[in-house]
Amino acid sequence: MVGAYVRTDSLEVEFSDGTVALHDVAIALKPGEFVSIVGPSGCGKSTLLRVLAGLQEPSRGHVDTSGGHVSFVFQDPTLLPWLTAIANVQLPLRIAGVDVDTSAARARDALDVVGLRGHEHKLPKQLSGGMRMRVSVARALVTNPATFLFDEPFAAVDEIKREALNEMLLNIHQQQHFSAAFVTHSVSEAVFLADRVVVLSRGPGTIIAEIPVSLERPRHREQRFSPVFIDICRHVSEVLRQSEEPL
Amino acid sequence: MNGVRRRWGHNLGPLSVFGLFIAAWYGLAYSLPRNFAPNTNKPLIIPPPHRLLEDMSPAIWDRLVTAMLISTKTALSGLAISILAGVALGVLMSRRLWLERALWPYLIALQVTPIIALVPLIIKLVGANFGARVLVTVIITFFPIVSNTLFGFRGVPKAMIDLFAMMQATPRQRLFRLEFPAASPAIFAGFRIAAGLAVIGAIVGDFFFTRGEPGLGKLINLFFLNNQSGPMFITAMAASLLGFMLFALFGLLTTWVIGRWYDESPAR
Repeated sequence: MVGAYVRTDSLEVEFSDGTVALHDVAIALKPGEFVSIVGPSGCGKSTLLRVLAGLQEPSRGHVDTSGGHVSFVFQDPTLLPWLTAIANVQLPLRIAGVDVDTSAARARDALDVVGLRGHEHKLPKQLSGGMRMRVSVARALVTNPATFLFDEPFAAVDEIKREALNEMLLNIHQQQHFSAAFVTHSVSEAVFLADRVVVLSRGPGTIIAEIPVSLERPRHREQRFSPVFIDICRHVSEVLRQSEEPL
Repeated sequence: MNGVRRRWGHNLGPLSVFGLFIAAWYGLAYSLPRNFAPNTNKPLIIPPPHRLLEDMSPAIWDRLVTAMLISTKTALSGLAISILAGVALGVLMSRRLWLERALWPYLIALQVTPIIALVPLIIKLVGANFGARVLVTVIITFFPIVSNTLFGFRGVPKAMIDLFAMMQATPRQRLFRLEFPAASPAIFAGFRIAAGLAVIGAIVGDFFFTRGEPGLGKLINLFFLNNQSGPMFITAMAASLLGFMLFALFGLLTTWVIGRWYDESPAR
């Protein structure tokens, strides 16, 4: 799988109540590039992601992509509670008309990748929060997306589980080279995952900095304690602090 | 030991209330003035519990069973029409806000208008027959089904609708793979409420529309006119039993369809 490029010209999003969510935002993902998006609450990060996904029409500008499937991982796992883990993962394929057996085999592979072998036939209510998020990632993965969009997917899980999920995601990215835009509130998560961190100002969101992350890949957890990592985090935090309102 | 005690605690409430209920029944039966005929000692208004079955001859039992079957048929016919039409209308209203805004006042009106106010109209339109009794059942059961369907469809989480949009699902796929299952707890709650009301509809209908073969309501009225208070009570109990059975039937249906994934008990 080769990641798609995603490019936008200057995007503007104004809601019907007159709120301007995004102003003059142009963003580009190179094929296979992993970009994290950070910014204060209400800066339009999620709106930007919804525009990239085609869930929200921009008021001005448009999104250009080299194609391939786009997958979206939501803030909540959004699993259908009446379907087992495997049936949830099969869903995008079944919707696209793939037959039961093929979709089941591919769903089983995707669940393997996120480390949920043996949990295929459990209902969402029988899984922990972290496991549900893994199912959600598997469901996004099963269509072999060229572009992966993440809207604060791990915000609700505790620190240690979040680190494990980050490492899982890096592994998958290492193998599948999709392009990714990852919205998060956590500076260290943003830096650890990305090739580049985009910082948005508070609403209406504009891009105030794009900070390259010069950490080697494949990444491993020890890099979180390296001077380079800490320097980049500091830089991102400083820019982010400037964008915030004074307390 | 602990289990036994918990079991006792669990049953103590219902048992003591039942005891109080029976005691109150006896109290009322023996304290009411002129409750027993002076010569024959026959109960005239409220028979005490142990004398309930006194007047129940095989012929009366036969009529009771027949009436119960007829009332069941009326209730189920009305319920079936309400379920088909009510769910369809609820889905349509969830799709078009203007339709919801336009129809809502009429649904409320249908719900709050006393049936007795519509009796003359129904007699003119459909006659005083089986159709009229089914119509009353439909009128009484329609609202909870429409409103619960609408409520269930409106409650489908936004993120899940986005998810289906991302998967480029067709409207049909969204309806059957997302909206109906997601709304089913609310829809089935509506069915259960309607099932209990359906028997009320069938019996109220019997009182006003007496052509053809009326059911339990007609029989209650007949026993009342003949001063047969025992059979009258038994028939009223049969009506409650029928309501209970329909309610329980839809309860079982709910468990069977959604019980595997949907947990109705509130979080503790």
